[in-house]
Amino acid sequence: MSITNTHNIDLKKLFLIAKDHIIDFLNTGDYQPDLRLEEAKFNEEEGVWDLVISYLLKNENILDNAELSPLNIALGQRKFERIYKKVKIDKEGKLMGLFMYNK
Amino acid sequence: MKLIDANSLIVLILGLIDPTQISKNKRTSIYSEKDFLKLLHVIHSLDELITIPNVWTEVDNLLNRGGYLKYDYIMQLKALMNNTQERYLGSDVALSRDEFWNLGLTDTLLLELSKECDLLITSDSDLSDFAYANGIVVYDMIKERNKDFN
Repeated sequence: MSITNTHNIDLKKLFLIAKDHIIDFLNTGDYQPDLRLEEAKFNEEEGVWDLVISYLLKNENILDNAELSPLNIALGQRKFERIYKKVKIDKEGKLMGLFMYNK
Repeated sequence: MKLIDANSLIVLILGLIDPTQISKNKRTSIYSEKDFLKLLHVIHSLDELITIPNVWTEVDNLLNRGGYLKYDYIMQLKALMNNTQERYLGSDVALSRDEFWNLGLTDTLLLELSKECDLLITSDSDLSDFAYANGIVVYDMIKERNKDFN
């Protein structure tokens, strides 16, 4: 069955498709990355759904017990960072691609 | 006081104009009339609502377009501005905060003002993350909406 435009049902279906792929890709184990659907629009030109998904990840560049230095903070580094991705899903519910996204 | 950010204010304005417009706007595409009604419940009374000039500017940049909704938009904007409160915070307040690097001008000012408010209403996940980390009580519209998807 193709995913068209019955708003609420479709969004849940689309989100779960994206979530399955991203969770698999992130491989975070027991950690729940607060995965969220941020935006969802049907792209008429390409005939696909454009979703923006965000998730919260531990910043692996900062040591576990290290306090953030003023320089870390000044450069916008945090112990956790929210990542945004654009996901394209076709009308049949197939994930077409996962892209970098700057908010 | 309940402090509101730009995207949540856009949901409020579009909902007051015509709730079917909410899901048609790119910035509010995941929301529905149900989310608008929940937002009204949280706001409770317009005179409890406060925001900053930067938020009104962002809202106006996004909604003050041509088309058949323009008149309704202007009317709702006037009504909301007349019935809510506005607080000015200088941009230098944001520049002096470390969060400015991550949140930018408007959201850093919102974070700062939220420390004096009872509730921050936001539909920005970054602002929400920083607010939670600062112990601020948040009504996170994206988090609420995503409860329907899990």
